[in-house]
Amino acid sequence: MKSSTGLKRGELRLLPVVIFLFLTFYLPVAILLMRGLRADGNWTFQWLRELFGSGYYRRVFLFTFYQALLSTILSLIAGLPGGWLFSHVDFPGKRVAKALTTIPFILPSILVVLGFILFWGRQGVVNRVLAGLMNKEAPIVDVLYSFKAILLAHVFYNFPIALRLIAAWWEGFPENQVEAARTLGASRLKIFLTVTLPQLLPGLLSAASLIFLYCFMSFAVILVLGGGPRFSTMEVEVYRLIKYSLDFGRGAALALTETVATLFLTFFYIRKEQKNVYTNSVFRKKTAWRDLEPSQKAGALLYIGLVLLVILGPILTVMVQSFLTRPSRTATAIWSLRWYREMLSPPGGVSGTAILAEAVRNSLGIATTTLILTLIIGAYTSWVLSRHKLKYPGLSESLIMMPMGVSSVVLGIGYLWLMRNGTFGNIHPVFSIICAHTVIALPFVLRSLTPAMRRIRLDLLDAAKLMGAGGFKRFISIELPLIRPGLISGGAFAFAISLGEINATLILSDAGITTIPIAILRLIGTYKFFSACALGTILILICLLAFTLIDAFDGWEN
Amino acid sequence: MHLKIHNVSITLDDFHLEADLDLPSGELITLLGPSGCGKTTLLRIIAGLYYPDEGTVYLGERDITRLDSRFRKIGMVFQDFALFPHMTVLKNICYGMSEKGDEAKKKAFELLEMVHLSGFEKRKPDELSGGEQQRVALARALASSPELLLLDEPLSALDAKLRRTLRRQIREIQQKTKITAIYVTHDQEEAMAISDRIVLMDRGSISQTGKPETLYSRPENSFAGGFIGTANMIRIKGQIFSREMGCSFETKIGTITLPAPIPCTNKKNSKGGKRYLYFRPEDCMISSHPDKRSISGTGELLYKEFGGDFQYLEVKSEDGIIRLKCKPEGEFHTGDMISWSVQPENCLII
Repeated sequence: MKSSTGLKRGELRLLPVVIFLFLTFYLPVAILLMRGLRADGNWTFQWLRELFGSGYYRRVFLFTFYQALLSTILSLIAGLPGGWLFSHVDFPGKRVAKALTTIPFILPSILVVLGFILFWGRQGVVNRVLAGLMNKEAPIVDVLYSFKAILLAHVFYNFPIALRLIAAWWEGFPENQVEAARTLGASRLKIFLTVTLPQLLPGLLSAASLIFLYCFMSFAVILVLGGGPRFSTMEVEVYRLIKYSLDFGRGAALALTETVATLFLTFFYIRKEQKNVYTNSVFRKKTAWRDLEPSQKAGALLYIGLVLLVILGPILTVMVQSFLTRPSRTATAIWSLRWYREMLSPPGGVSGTAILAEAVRNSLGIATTTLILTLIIGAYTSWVLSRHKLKYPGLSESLIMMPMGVSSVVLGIGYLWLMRNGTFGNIHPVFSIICAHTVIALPFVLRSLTPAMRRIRLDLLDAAKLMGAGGFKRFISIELPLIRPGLISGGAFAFAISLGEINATLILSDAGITTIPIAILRLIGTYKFFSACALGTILILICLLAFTLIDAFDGWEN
Repeated sequence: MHLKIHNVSITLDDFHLEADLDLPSGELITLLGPSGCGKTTLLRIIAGLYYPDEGTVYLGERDITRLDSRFRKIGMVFQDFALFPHMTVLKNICYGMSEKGDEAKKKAFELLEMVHLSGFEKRKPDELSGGEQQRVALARALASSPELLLLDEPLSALDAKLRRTLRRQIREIQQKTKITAIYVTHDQEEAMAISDRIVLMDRGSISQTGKPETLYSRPENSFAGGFIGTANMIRIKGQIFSREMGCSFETKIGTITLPAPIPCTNKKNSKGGKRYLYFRPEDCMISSHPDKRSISGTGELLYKEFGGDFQYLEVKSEDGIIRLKCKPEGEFHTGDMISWSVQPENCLII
């Protein structure tokens, strides 16, 4: 070994991470998937044969692909202008706008579904406003419970991802190439098509594969907004087969098929990402808002307006609704704190306070623990990955990122079966929920930490070393501060993912652990929409508070 | 501190480096050479960022070959400075100091004053110009009172004018602190301007070591002759015949007989290697009637440059081009026939 800095062998140091992931991810998923290949104690392809032989499931496969593909294309188109705007222009409120784009991502799907029903529904805000304007009978826009609703919700969820990834990619794209093309006489369109787009393509592709993956595994949106078996996907079918039909063999076989597909996609995505090593942290100079051409300003305003409408519409509807009440069925709504009061002291005398307090306490406790765990594991893992020589670096990284490619439904059921097995004794469901959340959030944290860790120039570490700093001091004083933006955004996502996670939580919380999303689900289930809105508002406020706090810390020096 | 590099060798992928050096205390020594010659690798071996495959590195009496660079007491200025972007100038400078608190601060302020950056302590690296960053990097490297200062192309990221000012500052600070400094550069002019001693490197080995004046006036091989300054080198064909009062040999420009023995400095290539008649352009004169002793020729003027207090001419010859650097007298045009000559005492055989 020539170099005394950096590249030491890392296999041994990666071992703790591998063991952790084996226990919390690979083992439970494998146990579930293996069930799809077994019947009566023997190995068999019976379940798979049945699935592929059935016209119904073939349609489900095709539809799953089709809706994911279409959602991806639409999300990319919707994200592209925003990607340009965020990487090229400084405008007032940009920070807020950037924070806004994270909202769809952190919102629990159950809340999004609720917001969509209230905003886009036949009697929803959009239709009532349009009817008022055009003096017609509602509904004018009828999108809910259809393929359109699925696409709309998927775009809502995923165009911010496209926007952010494209913006990040565009940020690092050297402006002088555009200038060079301009001096060579190329038109704007030609420059975009021949210079910019080909170089943005890797960014677009990685955004596309990520979005495709999410849409492929989308659950609540399909289940509720799709409106029936006509628009069912593999994820929903797995849930139905195992949870309702108790058809474990076929369910596991379907989960196996789905997981093979998603793992393949994930592998593709991760490999793609690995090639996109950002070596320079050069940030482009932004144009000030006032220097934009009028047409650009108009376009930007229109885009921002649309984004605000699409993102904020459903959310604000939920929040506003929670402060409204109708004294009688026909009366106009009036402002009221009734639903919040009811949460604290519900009619009928059941101790609602206790349930609410417990839900909030559980959610915060689980989310905080998840945050701490993912940051520690994430920082350590990204350090090992960036500073050590591994025999199979690409493969190791892919194995660590793989949890991205497994649906939380599959993970949750896997946990349940693993624990029912009893091998690990009596594990409290809270711990299994925290584990599941950590596994689900870890790839996101790694995705923001590892590039940041790799971006640190090695001569900074050499310099620190020559000034007498040991490995630990270098990590604390150089590496950790320099990946702080990654820690902050990764941590925020981990926190939000945990707060909003419902699929695995629902499966694992049989013992009666209530989190905020589960409480909302129960309220919706009993048609208490207003109360659900009130609790949803509280969830949104917690998320916003967390993001604001993190933002405040970000500006806090030393 | 006296640095001794004893029979060190390292192989990195397809690059191999060998070095044997003895560098006296308190000097500024330059590792000079074209890119890929191994100068930075050698510097990194001294810094402990690479460990050599063989050989020993002594700093003073200490064997530091395998010592972790943390404990070497070496300060280093990196090529693009490697300032910690998240720390202020003050924190950067104090990072490696053994002193703490006010004592560290006091020392940092002294260092800032020395590099003419008083008042900059609260700035972050990205609020500094390139030259300022360079000086902070220098102050930081000196902050832990190292026994050896390493500078890895410290000025290459800066523009020419700033380079001149800063190299002088580096030299002055080195002389003031009497620290042993090893300076890596590919710029021979920079190396000659500030070094006590130059270690000229070529393709992984040391080509010649010596004072700048020696390297310039008595290069020991064709690489040294060609790399430092501009030179005329005329290939010698076949053997050199000793005569009673000198020697004679064949070249493309004809048989040359030299009346006086010409110093032969080429040690490395003396057996079987290519040999050259070597002289500097500034020793070449324009003369239509050269005396018998001198080496001379006539050829077409191919190119000329006006350089203020001199003019630079390139004259065609049978061996290629003869370069002349002379007083800007006489008006020449490209295509004119020019006669040149050089005195034998200004020639070397290398």
